[in-house]
Amino acid sequence: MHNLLPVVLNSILAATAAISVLLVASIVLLHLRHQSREGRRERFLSEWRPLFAEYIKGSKPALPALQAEDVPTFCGLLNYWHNTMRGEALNGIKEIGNAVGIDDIALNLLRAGSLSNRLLGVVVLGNLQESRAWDELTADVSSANPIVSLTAARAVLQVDPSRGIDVVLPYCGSRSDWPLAGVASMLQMAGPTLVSDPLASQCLSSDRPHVIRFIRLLSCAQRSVAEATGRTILKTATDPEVIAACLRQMNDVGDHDIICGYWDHPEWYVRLQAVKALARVSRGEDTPLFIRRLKDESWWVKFRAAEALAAIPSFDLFKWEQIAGKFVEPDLRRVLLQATETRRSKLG
Amino acid sequence: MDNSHNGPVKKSVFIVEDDEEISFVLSFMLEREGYEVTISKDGRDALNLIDSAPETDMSAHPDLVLLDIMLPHFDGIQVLTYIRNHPTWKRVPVVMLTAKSQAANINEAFALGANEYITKPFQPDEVLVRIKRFLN
Repeated sequence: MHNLLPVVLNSILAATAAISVLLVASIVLLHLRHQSREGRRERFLSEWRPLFAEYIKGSKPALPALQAEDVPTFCGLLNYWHNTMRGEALNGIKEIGNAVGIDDIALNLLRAGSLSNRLLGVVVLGNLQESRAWDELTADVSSANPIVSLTAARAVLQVDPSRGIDVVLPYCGSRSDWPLAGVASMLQMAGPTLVSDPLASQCLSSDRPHVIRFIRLLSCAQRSVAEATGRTILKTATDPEVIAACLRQMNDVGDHDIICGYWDHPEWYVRLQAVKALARVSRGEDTPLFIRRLKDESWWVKFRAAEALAAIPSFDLFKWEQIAGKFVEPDLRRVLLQATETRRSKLG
Repeated sequence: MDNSHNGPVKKSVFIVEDDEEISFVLSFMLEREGYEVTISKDGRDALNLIDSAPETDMSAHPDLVLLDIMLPHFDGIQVLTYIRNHPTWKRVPVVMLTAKSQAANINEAFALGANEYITKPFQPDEVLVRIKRFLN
């Protein structure tokens, strides 16, 4: 037994040493591989950036062949420059893409690539407005993967905005896994002229829960359409969440009385949106209404009412305290004072 | 930045932009047009460069600054404030670069003395036209 112990210990030590050497060797290899990739990427960028710049200036120098290993870097560069620029420059970016055959490469990525390559293909095809990809892209809009579906939806709107809006818009309400900010950014890219009427139709014809998402997206529509749609829905709406979503769209002084109709609504988030909406449209004669809301049971409603009061140029906290003969809650008083001071300093 | 050499004087542009692709495009376009370009990648680097210019040499400044608003360390508004209080740089035209979503910052930039602004995404030719108004 005693003779066996050193042998076992030696074996353990040898195994540990071997594993350590293997680990170190793996780390070194990974590091070298990473360095080699980075070096290749840097060389590629230093060669291709000037070529991209030439193309967006309208000249078309000869291009080197695009190697398979450089396709992801090329696609990344193309997508980044596409997002950075607008107008005529985008034509140059499409031209350099087509000149190296990235449209065909991206189609292959879309059809047979891994998830990351497929996403890369979708973004490139959208930026190139490649109509050959229409069927695959519209099919991907219904993908269960929210990243694939939202990326495909954006690409569909880039390829053919007029046809694409009818494909994409229904999903904007039903896909609760699409972040609303991402959807809004996509609809803003399509533009309010294209989006306004179909979005208003969806708002007026959809039921809960989709209708709430659609109403919140009205900020991407033309202001007149958004406000008119909100007014129409409010005429019959009883669902507090729908009412709150509509109040978010109210920006017109003509909606003053509609907003005030929800001033004492039993749900705090409706009162909150009413306070915020009135703050946007108020002409300064609503001080008593905001003061009333300083006694709201919800802290957020009180906070927004305090902010709204402080934004009214004629409001004077100290004078109001004298008239009212009492102080507002200390934390709200701080809000009022701070907001009043900020306003004064902005006015100089 | 020192233009006090002999021969034809190249107008100089100082770009403060942390986005490598954007600063590349802008410098490529400007150098193609014959301008001398210096680039800083963040606010601290920009302030260091401004401070490195001798205060007694009134020509030791660029002819124009292209200044991004969102920058690491010191933002564009802080760099602009510094420029406007600097003895030799204070009259240099400053063109702000800003994302559409930061448009609210533009009012502040104008109040602090910015001369022009360009929103990203941008059209390179349009940038050149706007810049040339201050350089020619």
